Amino acid sequence: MNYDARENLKAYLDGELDPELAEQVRTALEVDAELKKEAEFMRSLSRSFSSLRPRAEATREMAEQAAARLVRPHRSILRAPWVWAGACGLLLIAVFARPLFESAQHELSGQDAAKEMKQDSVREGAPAAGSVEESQAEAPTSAPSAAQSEALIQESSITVRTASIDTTLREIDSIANSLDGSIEVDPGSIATGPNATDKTILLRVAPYRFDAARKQLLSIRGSTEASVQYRNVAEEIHRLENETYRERSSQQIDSFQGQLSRLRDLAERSTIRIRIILEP
Amino acid sequence: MDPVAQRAASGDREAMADIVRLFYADVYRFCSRIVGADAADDATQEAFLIALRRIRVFRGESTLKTWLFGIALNVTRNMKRKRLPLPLADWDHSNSEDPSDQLIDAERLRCALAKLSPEHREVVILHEMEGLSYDECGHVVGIPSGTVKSRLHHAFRQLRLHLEGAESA
Repeated sequence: MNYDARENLKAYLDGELDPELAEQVRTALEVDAELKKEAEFMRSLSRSFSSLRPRAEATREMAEQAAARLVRPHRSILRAPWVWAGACGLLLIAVFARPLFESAQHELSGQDAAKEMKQDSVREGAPAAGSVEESQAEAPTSAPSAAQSEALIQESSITVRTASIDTTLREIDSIANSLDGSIEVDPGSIATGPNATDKTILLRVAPYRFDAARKQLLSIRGSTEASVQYRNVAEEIHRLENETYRERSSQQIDSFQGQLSRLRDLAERSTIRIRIILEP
Repeated sequence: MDPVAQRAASGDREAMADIVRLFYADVYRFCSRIVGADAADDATQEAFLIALRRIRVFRGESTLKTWLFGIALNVTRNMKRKRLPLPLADWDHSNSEDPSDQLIDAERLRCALAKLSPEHREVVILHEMEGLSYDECGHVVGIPSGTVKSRLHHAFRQLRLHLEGAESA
C-alpha cells in the first residue's frame, strides 16, 4: 500500500487536498486495490454518520422561548409606575418628617456631648479597654461591602495566648455563631487532639463581616493580629474563566477550574486564621 | 462580519434574540450529539448565555455558527466532566431510500465512537455530522486545519479497527 497516499486519503475523499496531492492519491487509487478498499470503507463510514438523525430535535417554540428567556427586553426603570409612586412617597416623607428629624438630631447632639464627656473620663483610667468596647458596639453587619462585587480576598492571621484552649475555642465558637460564620480545622495545623498546646483553626465569614469578626476576636484576652491582607482577584478570575473556554487539554482545564473555584471560595468567604497557644 | 452579529455586538437586543432564534436548533442538535438529548437543552441555554455575554468580543474571524459551536463545545466539555453519556445516545439512521446504501448499524457506530478520544470524537462529529469544513472545524476546536486533517485520519483508522474488531468478535 502507498503510505503517503493513505495518509492523505481521508482529506482527498473530503475534497480538502490541494490539486497536486489529490492527483497523487487518485493515481494510487487506480493501482492499489487495498487503498481502494479503504476508500470504500471511509465513504461508507461517512455516509453512515451523515445519515444519523436525532429522535427529537429543537422546535421553533423552544427557540422562541429561549430567546425570550435569554434576551429580556430592556425597559427603562422610569417607565414603571411603582417607581414614580415610590418617589412621591419619599418626597412626602422628606417634607413631613423633616421637623421630627431635626428635633431628634438636636436630642442626639446633646447625648453625644454627654457621651464624649464620659469617654474622656474612661480614657484617663483604661484607654485600651475603652477603645475595644467602642469598636465592638459598632459591628458593621448591615450591608455587603465592595468586597463581593470586586472579588476581594480578605485574610487575617490572629494569635491568641491563653491558659485554656477549650475556653478560647468556646469564645471563638460564640463569635462565629453570632456572625453566621463557620469554623474549620486548619489542614496545615500540626498539633491537634485533646492535649495539644498549639491549635490553629480557620474562621470563615461573609466578606462584609470580616472586620466585625476581626474586632471581636481581638477583644479576646491575649489576642494579637499578626497580619491582615486584602487582594482583589476579579481580574484573575476573569482570566481563568476565559482560559477554560480555549482549546486546552483536559488536565489544563481541570487545573484552571480548580484555581477558579479556590479563588471564588476565598472571595465568597473571608478567612481568619487563628492560632491558639496554650500558656499555663 | 455578519450584520446580525454586528447589531448584537452594539447592544441591539432584538438582534441578540434573532441569533438565538436562528441558531438554537443547530446548537441544540450539536450539543445533543455530544451530551445526549436530556442534557442538550441545558447545554444549549448555557452556550447562548455565554455567547450573548461575549458577543461584543466576536470579531467575525469565523462565521457566527462556528463561533457558537466553539462555545457549545466548551460547555459540553465541562458538562462531561460531571457525567459521561454515550455519544449519539438518541440518534438513529434515517430511512434511506437508496438500497445500495450499506449503512453501518447505529449501535455499532455509537460504540466505536465512544472508544475514540474526546479530541478525535469532536472532529468526527463536527466534520462528518455537522458538515463543517476542515477550516471551520479548526475554528470551533481552536486548532489549525492541518491538525483537523490528521485527527480525522487517525480517528477513521481507529474507527475501522474498532468496527472490524467488533465484527470479528
